[in-house]
Amino acid sequence: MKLYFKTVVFILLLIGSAFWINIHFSGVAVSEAMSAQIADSAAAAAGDLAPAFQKAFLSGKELDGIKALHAFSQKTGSVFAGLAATDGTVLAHTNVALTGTRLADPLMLKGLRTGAPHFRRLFHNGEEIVETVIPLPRQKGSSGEELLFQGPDAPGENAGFLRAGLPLTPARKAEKDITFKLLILAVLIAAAATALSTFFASVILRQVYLLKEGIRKVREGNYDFSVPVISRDELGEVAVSFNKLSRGLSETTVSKEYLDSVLESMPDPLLITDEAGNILKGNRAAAEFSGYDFLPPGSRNLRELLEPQTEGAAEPFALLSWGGHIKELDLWFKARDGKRLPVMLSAAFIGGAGGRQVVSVLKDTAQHKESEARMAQYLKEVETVNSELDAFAHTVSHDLKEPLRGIEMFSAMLLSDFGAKLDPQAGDYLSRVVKASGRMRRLIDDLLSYARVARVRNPYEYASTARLAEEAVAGLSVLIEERKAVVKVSGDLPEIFCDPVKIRQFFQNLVSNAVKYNDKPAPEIEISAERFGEYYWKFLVRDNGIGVPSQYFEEIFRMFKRLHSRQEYGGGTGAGLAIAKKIVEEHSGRIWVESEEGKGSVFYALIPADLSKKP
Amino acid sequence: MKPALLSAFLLFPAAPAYPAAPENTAAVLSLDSGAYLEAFSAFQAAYGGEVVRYDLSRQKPVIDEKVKLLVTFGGKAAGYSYPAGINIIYCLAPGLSVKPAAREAREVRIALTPAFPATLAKIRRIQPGLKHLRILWSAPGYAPYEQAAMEEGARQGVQVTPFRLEGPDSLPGALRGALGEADALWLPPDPLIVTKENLRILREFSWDNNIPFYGSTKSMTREGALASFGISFAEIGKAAARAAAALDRGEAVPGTVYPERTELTLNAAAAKKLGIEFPGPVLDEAGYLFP
Repeated sequence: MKLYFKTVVFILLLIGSAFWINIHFSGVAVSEAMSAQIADSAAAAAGDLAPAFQKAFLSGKELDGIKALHAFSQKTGSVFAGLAATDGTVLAHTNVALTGTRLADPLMLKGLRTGAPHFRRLFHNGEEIVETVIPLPRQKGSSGEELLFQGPDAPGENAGFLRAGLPLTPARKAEKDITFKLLILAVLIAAAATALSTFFASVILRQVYLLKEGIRKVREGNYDFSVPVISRDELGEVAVSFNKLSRGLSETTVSKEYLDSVLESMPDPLLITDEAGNILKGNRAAAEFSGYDFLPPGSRNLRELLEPQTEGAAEPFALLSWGGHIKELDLWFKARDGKRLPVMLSAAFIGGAGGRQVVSVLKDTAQHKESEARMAQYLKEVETVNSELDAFAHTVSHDLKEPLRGIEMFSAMLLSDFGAKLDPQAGDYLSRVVKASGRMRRLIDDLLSYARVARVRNPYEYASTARLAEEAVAGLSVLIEERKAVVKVSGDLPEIFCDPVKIRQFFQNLVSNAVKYNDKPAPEIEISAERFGEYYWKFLVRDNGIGVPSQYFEEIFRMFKRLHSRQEYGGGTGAGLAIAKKIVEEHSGRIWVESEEGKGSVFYALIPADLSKKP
Repeated sequence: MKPALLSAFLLFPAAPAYPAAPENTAAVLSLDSGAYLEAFSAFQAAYGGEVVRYDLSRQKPVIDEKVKLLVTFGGKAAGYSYPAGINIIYCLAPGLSVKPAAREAREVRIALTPAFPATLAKIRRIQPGLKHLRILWSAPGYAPYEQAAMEEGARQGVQVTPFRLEGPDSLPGALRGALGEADALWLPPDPLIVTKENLRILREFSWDNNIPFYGSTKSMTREGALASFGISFAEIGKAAARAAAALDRGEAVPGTVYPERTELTLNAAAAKKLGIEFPGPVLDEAGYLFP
């Protein structure tokens, strides 16, 4: 029941009680007054008939008494009347059956005891009457002796009592009139009191209604709502406290509207379900994606809309219950139009124990899958092209080497056998031909090496990178000794699943570069490795060489890219780092450099720890 | 009352006249008005001729020698001394005792009530559970009927107890004696008992102690009797006319003549006080129902 109605009912009960008490006790008072008046009238009538009663008492004849009583009844309309002696014995009665009996009821006894008139109300033969006991004084004699001894005004004894039942009919009408007027008055007062009470109840409860409205607003997420304070009483203080509370909430809490707007603006479908999978809410993206409006809440079950993409796979909600969350699980989603859409489901529990819900995010992977397929096709085409290119480069290089070898050999023979006979100018030209031929051979060799990295597929195996690094360093021992370089290979280099020939070449190219491009009297090179995440090893080749300007950090890994003239730092072709990069990438890795000019460089290579487990 | 009177007067002219000798007939009325005159008018109409009448309240009647039949109306008229040798018909003379052997001429009393068997039967229709009926009487004229009443009561399965009052003052004691003994009281039209005071005593006794009392005239019903079984004044006059005609013809006439039609009156207030409900046929038969 509403507070207003409770208050009004309480007030009405109070008014009703007061109303009833007023009417009841007023009625009782009126009734008593009317009874007293009737009894007084009867006493007056008895006084008028005193001689007749006196005669009956003196004669002792019943009929004299009855005649007097009939006269009394005629005068007062009594329903019965009787004359009783001073001991209560009935001398005469309108109901002659009672003559000779003794009246001993409380009213009679009271009258006998006090000698004064008394009355009461009772029902006689189904009719309410006023029963009265009226003392009848003994008439004094008028003899001189009596006057002499008693005096005219001396109180006398009672000759007996008149017992009468007087009808209430005349009084009833007066009673009803008075009671009716009191009732009308009470009704008017009650109506006025009710109207005023209702008005004041509504005024008092106005603040409560405003608070109720405020609570409703806050419940809907409108934390910034303030309740108007219209009273200065306790309810007003509650309203002030409420406003402080709502302000605090608005400052500290993300509103529901805000959260809703976030959810609605999400591009990916988002669904909130109960633990059984019944969908309670879905955002706009979910509705557009699936075609369902998800209304009313609970009308759809997400478990029925999801299917595993592989036969026999675990049910998503079972995985969720087991693991507490799901991340990027590939599934089919049954849309409203019957289509099966590929999705990637991520889900987690939200809410506390007992009232947990599941928030699920679906990622439409149809486009992703398409891109993936397209990418795979591109890769395949690229691989084909690269393979053809590698083959072409190898063929061309190999084929170029034969005439070049002839040019170089015969130029050298011509220079050695006929050098003295040649004009000095011719000798110089020939000498340049020999040098150019040699440089061209080295270029072709490097090109072949580069092409071989892709073309030659050595078997992968678990190999110790420490051993491979040592072998590479050993292969460069002449250069190292010549340059008085110091190469340190860390003992904790790992064992990885790789092409050992190429990894050895990787180390050799980096160490070779580090020794060559170093202007220090004693170059220092250090090969080490460290764990990078769960799946990778990060190899480091650190030197104290000339360094690389930062703008060339990417460029130096391009084929035949040189930062110096051919005469400087050993006249390399600029293929070493390109080959190293190709080897690292073939191992699904990545290579980069960090360097500071004049202080040295660190080449990093990120290589998977175990390619045999590559998905 | 008024409709009954009106119908009686309207019917008289059409009533059959008996062969009569009005010149030899005279009437004496206790009072030349009220019930006496009503009964006389009915008598004269039924008798068939104008009859000389005397108002006893005004003068002593001087009966002509040629008068052979005298019809009296009222107790005083009945108690007056008339010359021997004249046949007399007494009407409206309650408690009168007719002694055929006391005079040379014939004396006939027109009963004021139905015969007792009929009265008892009617009381039993109103009060089917009646076991004990007490009859209160005082006038010597009712003495001869005591035995017959008890015998009729035995015949109808009701113990009938006639109780003679010494005088009007003995009614209260007689009523107290009936407490626990009688289921109902019946009061014949006995002038020695029926006083206004006594009727009131009877009513209050009856209503307060739940013992119905039955009367024999409409006025008794009005004063509080549950019911009264009487005869209308017009019927009495007509019965007197029939008896007079028979005497004129020299036919035998019983000492007491009971009129054919009786009059039933009921008191609804008394019935309510006593908790009695009148049966439908009784209500249909009632000539008057006092509220």
